[in-house]
Amino acid sequence: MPESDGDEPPEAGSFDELVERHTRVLFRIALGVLRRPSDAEDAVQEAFLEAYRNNRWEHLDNPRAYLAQVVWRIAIRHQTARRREQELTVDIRSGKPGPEQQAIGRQLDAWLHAEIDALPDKLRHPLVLMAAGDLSQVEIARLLGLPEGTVRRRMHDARALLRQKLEARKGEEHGRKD
Amino acid sequence: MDEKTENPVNESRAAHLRDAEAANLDAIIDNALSTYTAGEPEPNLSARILGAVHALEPRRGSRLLHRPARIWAFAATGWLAAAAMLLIWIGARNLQIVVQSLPTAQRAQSAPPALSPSSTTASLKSMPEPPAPRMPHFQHPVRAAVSNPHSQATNRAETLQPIAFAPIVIAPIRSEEVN
Repeated sequence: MPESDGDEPPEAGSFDELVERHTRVLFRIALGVLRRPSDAEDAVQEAFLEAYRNNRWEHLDNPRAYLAQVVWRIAIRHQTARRREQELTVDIRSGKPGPEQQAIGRQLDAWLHAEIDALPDKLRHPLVLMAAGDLSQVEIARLLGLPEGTVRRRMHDARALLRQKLEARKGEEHGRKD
Repeated sequence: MDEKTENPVNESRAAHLRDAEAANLDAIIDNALSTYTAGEPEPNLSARILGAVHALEPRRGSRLLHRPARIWAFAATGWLAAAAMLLIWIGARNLQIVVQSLPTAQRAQSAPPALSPSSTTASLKSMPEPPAPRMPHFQHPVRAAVSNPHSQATNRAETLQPIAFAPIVIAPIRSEEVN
């Protein structure tokens, strides 16, 4: 029975504690897929509700991996439904505002985010899961239902592809300066 | 000489620059990846989730209560069925006792003598023996069948009486001589 009265810390082993501990990482995973904070929050809520309804959360060896799998599945489902409705839009809310000297870098980041969005799903998913943090390659492989070697290779391919695009962009910038 | 010494230096410098450039690109990609999922959830997301879980709780409770209710419904149905069967059995037993307590004449009237062992007698067979020293129902047809042995014997004697035929006397054949 969840109890969340006041500012008291949640009881160890309770559902409240589970929510408090894993909300952030689940949000980041969902955000990596859905790219909209509001959609990511909905996916996280749905994942926790599913875990609560199933009554399995008390007996999990690795609740983080289980919840990550649930939120990933929900996010992919939402993404598939949304892709049918409209084109994917980038609406990233940055956590902290950066200083002015990072403005150019942020532009580059925004460009790279668009490039990551444009990657094929099979390359993007392992990369995003790794970027969301807290998940090992073994957990990512289990979550995606792939061999660990395949996950590693896809991550390498994704990075190589991004590097190529980045080099091409830099080459274009140098050409314009010259 | 100068060119020979400068070329390796240039090559190593170029390789160093390439490595630095590659490292720089990797750093840029890592940075982009870290900001790719760097959004923070709303501060009240946990409270919202727990609120939704709270809202789910009564429904969940009723669902849990629903299972025993179903079990109770099944049990009550079973008990009712058993009670109905018991009542039917008791009713049938009382009917049998009433029938058995009737006088023999009434029973003979009520039951035809050529009563075959139908379902009624079959059901009575399974009943316990009545305390009264009366004959059971299924013996009545037998008794009715041999109710008049004398007349039967007479009829049999009449039918089996030998017929007295007059003795056939055959005269001796006389043979006359043919002259």
